[in-house]
Amino acid sequence: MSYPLIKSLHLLSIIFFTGGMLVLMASLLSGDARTMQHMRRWDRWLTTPALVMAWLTGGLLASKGGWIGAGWLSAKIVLVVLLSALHGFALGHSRRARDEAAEVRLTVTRAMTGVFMLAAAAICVLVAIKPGAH
Amino acid sequence: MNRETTHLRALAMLEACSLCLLVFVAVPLKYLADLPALVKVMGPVHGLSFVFFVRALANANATGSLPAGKAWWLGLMACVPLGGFLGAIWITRAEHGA
Repeated sequence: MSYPLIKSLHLLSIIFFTGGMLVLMASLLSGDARTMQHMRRWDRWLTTPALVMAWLTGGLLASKGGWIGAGWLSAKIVLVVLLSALHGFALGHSRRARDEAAEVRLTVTRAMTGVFMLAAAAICVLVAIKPGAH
Repeated sequence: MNRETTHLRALAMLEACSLCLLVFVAVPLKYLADLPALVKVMGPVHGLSFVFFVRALANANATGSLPAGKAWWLGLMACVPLGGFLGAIWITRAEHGA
């Protein structure tokens, strides 16, 4: 598979993952059980596969582009692990609200959204500037 | 049986197996027999399984099936070869209340 094609797939996966995460967190903030249920289904069929695809295509890009070991990529990987953990946390949060009929903790959800956006912004800067790369 | 815990245990086993294969088979093959092919396969497999294990830890913590302290310990144990197996045993024992 060619580099531009893998890059396109990577970008597409990121768009789906980011969109899915923001919608999932918006559904948590809404506190509506029905919306959250729809979002969990959406997540199963779109956001989670997009996350898997983003990791697979990202690994291929790093390997084909010769970026493995670059400082900016290592920093990006740490941030993407954080985003993956946030995804698991947001899903678990939504499932807990369903199982225990517990109220969504708004402060936690707002903090998650903030961290998600900051990490995504940092990733964009790292990828665009590639600090340390010649 | 709790769905999150079952999922977490399966991922802990997968992560532990991939790390052991990488450290005890693939890396010696690369440096002692000049056969880097297995490292090229096992490196990404282990990386992916680690990421999804971390995600499952966060998920189990958010659902209330795993306290934050235990989640951190399991994450640290997963970084050590064979530690993931101990983690999987720990998860099973905690589930059965031992």
